[in-house]
Amino acid sequence: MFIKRLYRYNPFLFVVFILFLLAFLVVNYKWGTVATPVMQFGMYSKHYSVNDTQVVFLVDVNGKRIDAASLSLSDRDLFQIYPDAFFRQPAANAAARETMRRYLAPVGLDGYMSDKKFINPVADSSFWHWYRAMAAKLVGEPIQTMVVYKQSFTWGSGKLEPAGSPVKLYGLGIE
Amino acid sequence: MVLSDSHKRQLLAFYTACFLLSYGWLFYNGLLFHQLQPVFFTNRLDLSLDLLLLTGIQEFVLQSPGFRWGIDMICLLLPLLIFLSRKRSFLGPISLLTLVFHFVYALLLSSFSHLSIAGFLGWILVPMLFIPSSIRGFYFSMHIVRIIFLVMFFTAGVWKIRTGGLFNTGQMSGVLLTQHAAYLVHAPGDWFSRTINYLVAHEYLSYSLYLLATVAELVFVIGFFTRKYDRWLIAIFLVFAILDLILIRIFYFHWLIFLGCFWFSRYEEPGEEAMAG
Repeated sequence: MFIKRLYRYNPFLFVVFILFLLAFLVVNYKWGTVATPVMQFGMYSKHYSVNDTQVVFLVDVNGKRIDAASLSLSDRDLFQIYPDAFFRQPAANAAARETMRRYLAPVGLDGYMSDKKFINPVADSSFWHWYRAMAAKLVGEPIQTMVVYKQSFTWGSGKLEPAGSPVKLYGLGIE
Repeated sequence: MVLSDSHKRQLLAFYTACFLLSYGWLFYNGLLFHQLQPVFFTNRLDLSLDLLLLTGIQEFVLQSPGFRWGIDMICLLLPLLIFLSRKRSFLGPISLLTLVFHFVYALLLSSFSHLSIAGFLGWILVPMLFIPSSIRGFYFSMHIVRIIFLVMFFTAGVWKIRTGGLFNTGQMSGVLLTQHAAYLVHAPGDWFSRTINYLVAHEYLSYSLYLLATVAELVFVIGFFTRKYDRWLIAIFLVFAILDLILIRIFYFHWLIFLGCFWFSRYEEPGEEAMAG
């Protein structure tokens, strides 16, 4: 048996390995967190439904809509995931810090989880500046005008259909 | 047949090739720090990430272009140094350094980008194989990494049972919609959108794919009891990764780096005489 042979080879390595496996159970299943590389990978385990509302970011650059379908996987992710992540991060980072405080408190590290280290100092304008630069790289031309909308969609009649009106998040060079 | 030094060299070459493929993919997609020039990071429920954030290293990533270039370069150079190490006395320390550095790098990159930390586990764990100087040490490290991969893959299947995802026939339709919403909206008429729409509309058909993927994950349990089917597990993983790329558009090939442990697992433990290396 491998585990017995590992013990005979190196008891210290054996203990580390067993601790790793125990940590896997405690951290992932009991605490509901991870401690990389001790991690449970969900791979689409949580509940999904065809009735879930889908949010898509629609981006117009120099009067033309950027066709997300024509972008590489990674570029599409950049356009679609980053605005979502940016708007979620203030609440998400604060919530994660509060949860993790309880695990760092026993070793006295919770007091060091300051705003400076755990909350992004970034302003909306800095994010949009970055997003614009990224878009310019993708379209390969300087950006004169840019508008970003957030639009919800729901599944109906065999396709995704708009749900409500698009919400304008950002506009550059237009009234 | 007994595991030998030659196998270690082959696995080292495989590791280097997989790492370069993975790093090259990041570079090609503009996802390295110096290309991304991130302006914010995202925290999550990860104890390791929070300990890292306590150091304040994220401020350097945000503020210093030189730092971003530096960590991208070191990330690339360390595995190359492992590969080029001729002296055994050098291989162990440089592998340990690579493990630690890639651990930090992967935590940061997953926090500053949309990339999942799970994809980088191979970067973090596989250098562990080259830390021991003896072939016996290499043998045990390889099997430890192999078991960790088995745990990770198998429990992904178990988790789908625990959360109830496996018992939801609409699960895969929901996954496909979430994953491809932007594509479906922008190109509703093309062949890929039509295929996805068809699968979403026929939930039992799409659910059967989800079920198959879960079975593929659960099948990895066999690896805890025998090494006899490891090459089948390699084949199952490759089919899983290819189908994921085609259907879900997720790049699982960062995990190729683990497969060397399954390829060489059939070789027996070297004798005590190999302890001295």
